[in-house]
Amino acid sequence: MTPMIETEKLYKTYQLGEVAVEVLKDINLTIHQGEFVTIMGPSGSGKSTLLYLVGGLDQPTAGTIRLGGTLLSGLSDKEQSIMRRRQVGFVFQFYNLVPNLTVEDNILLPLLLDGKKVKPHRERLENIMETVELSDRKDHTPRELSGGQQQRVAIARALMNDPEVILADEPTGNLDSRTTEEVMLLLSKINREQGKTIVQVSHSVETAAYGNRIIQVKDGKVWDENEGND
Amino acid sequence: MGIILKYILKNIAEKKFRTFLIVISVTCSAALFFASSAIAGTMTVMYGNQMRMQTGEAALLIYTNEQSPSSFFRIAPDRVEGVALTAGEISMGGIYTVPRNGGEGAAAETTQLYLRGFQLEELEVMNPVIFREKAVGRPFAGNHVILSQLFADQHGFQTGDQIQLEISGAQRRLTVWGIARPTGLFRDSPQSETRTAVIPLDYAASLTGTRGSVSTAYVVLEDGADITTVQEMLQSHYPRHDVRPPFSEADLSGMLEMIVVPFFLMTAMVLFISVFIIYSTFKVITVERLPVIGTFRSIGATRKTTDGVLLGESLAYGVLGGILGNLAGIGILYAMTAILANDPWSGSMDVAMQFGPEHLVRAFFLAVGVAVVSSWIPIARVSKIPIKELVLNLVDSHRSPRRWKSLAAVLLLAAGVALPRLAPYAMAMPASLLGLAATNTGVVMAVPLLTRIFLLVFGPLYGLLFGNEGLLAVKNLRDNKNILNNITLLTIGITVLLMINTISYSVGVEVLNAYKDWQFDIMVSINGADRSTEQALRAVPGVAATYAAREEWGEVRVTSHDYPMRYLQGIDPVNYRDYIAFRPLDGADGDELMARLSEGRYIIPAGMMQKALELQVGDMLTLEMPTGPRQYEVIGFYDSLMMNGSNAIIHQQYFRSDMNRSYVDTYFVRVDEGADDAAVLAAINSKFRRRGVWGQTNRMMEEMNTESNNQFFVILKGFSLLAMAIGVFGVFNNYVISFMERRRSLAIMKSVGMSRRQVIKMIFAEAITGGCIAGVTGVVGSILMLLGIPAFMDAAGIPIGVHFVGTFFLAAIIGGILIAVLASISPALKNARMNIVEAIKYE
Repeated sequence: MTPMIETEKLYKTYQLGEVAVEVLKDINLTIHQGEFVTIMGPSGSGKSTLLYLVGGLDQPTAGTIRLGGTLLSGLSDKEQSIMRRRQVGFVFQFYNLVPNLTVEDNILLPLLLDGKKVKPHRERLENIMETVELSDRKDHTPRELSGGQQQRVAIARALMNDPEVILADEPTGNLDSRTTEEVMLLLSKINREQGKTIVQVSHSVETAAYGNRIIQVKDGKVWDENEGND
Repeated sequence: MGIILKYILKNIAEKKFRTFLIVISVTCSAALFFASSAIAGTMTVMYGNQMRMQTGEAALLIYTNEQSPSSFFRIAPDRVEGVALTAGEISMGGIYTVPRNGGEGAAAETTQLYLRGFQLEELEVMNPVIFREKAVGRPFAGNHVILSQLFADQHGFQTGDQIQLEISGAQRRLTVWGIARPTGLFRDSPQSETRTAVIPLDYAASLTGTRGSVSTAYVVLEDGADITTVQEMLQSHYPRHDVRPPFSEADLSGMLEMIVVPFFLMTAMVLFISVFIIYSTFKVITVERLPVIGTFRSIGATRKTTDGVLLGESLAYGVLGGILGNLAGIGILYAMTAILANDPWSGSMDVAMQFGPEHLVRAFFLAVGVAVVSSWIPIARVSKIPIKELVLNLVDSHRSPRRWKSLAAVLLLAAGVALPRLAPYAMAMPASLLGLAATNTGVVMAVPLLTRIFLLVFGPLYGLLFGNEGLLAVKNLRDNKNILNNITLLTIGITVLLMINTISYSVGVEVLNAYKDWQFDIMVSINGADRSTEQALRAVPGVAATYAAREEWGEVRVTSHDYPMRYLQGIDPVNYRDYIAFRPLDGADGDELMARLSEGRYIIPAGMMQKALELQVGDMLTLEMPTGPRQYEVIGFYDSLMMNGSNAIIHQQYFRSDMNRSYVDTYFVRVDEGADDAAVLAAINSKFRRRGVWGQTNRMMEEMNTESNNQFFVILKGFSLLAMAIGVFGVFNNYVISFMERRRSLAIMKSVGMSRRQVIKMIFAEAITGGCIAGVTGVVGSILMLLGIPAFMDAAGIPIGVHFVGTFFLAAIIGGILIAVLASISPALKNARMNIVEAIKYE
């Protein structure tokens, strides 16, 4: 199997006033292409920080991260931005949609930032909207949608540039059980049918069950890895 | 209560820039209101002081008029109750020839002296002379003269020196009795060519051959005497003379109202901007405070208490702004007064501000009112939110654009344009003001609609100009309330600035046009002018032709319409039009009107009078003239701005008989082609200097008028720049708030791959667009408001046309873009460098 994400001796320390808080300590892990990994752990364990470091949203204090073989610490702001728009798709707990843009505009955002024209990608856009079942909502703004619908827009946006990896930070943390199931089935389907590598952060064992591996993080360290139900 | 006060003060101290912005808005409003309301009183006092320089303590003057049997009169010996002193004066001209030092061929240089004959004892009571030096032990009598310090220093005279003067054609040798400091009678303007000198009254009378008589008498009243009673009693003693106060404060105040109205208009504009800034800032403050208000309410605070917290904050801003506004207002009043004190027509005046506690109190309450009223709507809106929504943070501050606002904006704009045009003249002032207010409000309300239209039209171009970041900028601009607030603030600022600049330019053009109407080169008045004077004038080298003008510059009352006409001309229809352009109105034929004027008591009023009195051809006007009331029939109207259009023309024959005026007031002189008008004027002055002559070239008068107007507009421009400055502060503040609110959106964009460069590019595209829209809406707004200005100016008694200048509009658009771009630099850079995780993770 090809490694998609590799971290080596990864450290992250935050300075809170005069106190240095070590959030991640010596993280070494490898996630392979096509895996659906769930990072679990108690609040404050550093699981979201790990996800943000892997996605290039934050910089590690020490250690290295490779995404698709590329060393992230060697990239400039521009190269990291390009990496985020082409290789990674983010899904957040609070959806993080731009409120004044329509559903279609939000989904198109990575494409537009990549300097591409919309016209040649229209068919792909429509397929994605069909996949997330939002074709009839394309002209709505996020505040006109339910939580589940907003999260599906976020997933569609993550898919727009056809990235290799989808990073999801508690994607169902803000949803009810029925919508949670809908979203997880969608992510699972994307993983299965499109072969995308998915890394999600979650508290819930039920949502972790949709993936095929669980990484437990506690006190900033990976303390257990096991295969999930596939 | 103590806790709430502490909380309010903490809030104010925490947000320094926001506090600064609100306080500066309130301060400016209060300061300009204070200055505008006190300027009329101040100028009245200053003009009064200026006039009192000549008349001193005299409360009444007695002087000859057309009905007086002679130019001189005897002061009645009877004691009049209430009169402390009646000081007589005889004045005349004198010429001092400066000793030559340029050899035989050099032209003799002369200085005019205004010789005023007084009894020194009387003068000391009425208008005391302050001496730098004077003769000791010798009474002021005989051929003595008191020279002004300015003249004495210029020509090297000291007390005891002899001075040779030419008085009434004869050479007289006088002895310098004293040198007076430049106060009172001796306060000659350095720019003026004439210098004042005082000679003993008896000596003056001996020169004129009028011993025992005077030409003017100055009446000083006893303490507590009633001026009106004394005036009536004196009038009965001098039935064929005028007994009047040196100047009427009521007339002066009326004249100054014309100055005050535009200042108040500008103050209203600044007030409008301030209200908008405070309103929009309080919208942000109330949204920010929602969690705290929720907490207060959840632990038992009533709506009244939470409203009180917010109102207390606005009250604090109002109180602070009121205090600072009064202080700044005094400074602005001083600056305005100092500028207006240098009147090229009246000479420079001493700056003496005049204001009382009522001005300060009014400005203070305006400041408090502005702060509280502007913040009330956002506060009331928060007050209505149910406690559950506040506590659970369920309040959605987003409001979708309301269609009725666009409709209301269009209706207001239409009303703003129509009102000044449709209103009858009597209602023109309130209708124009209402129209200006409607247009201004309409423009502000139309900003979202205009922004949508602009983006619809120009949006597609953004892809070409700025790439996909440009397209994103266009999407961000739609219904973004902070950016719309910025556009609105810039729009108001640009509108005001453009309006003032265009009006000021237009006045300049109109003044120029008015002087173009004068097709002569020199205007000259010669004492005791008669037929032979005109012959002599024509003989001056360089004079091509002359026209004897008969005019009354004082008020002529139109009793039939209770209207004070400010200028009346008695013209010679045969050659009048060779000297002054005559443009009949309503399609009338100029030749016919001129021909008819000769046929009887006919009158041609100016267009402004036609409007003001709602006159029609055939109407009869009763003019109050020295020979009694006279009826004139209106035969037509003409276009004239003389005395702001308060003027009319009649035939000179009727002017002479009805105004009892045998002499010629002024000559209009046309010089030979290629001749230098200034040189011809100098030749005229030289020829008639012994008789007393006053003359100016058309060019000189135009320059003085332009200078006088510029002084006025420099203040108005100052006001408009202040309005713009507050607007710019508001824009800077709004940009900071806007980016604070959009931090999360920008972080989201960065999380999906937007680079720093792209963030900056997108923000600048937004700024350029916002500035451009503000520039365009500002231009549209100013044009709409300027369309209503002629009606307003007509109503204010300053009839001018508006001349649009394309470069002003272009500059406004570029300025708008520059301000928006400058304001967005700092937030753009900060946001480009932000920590994505921090911004994105927390709601």
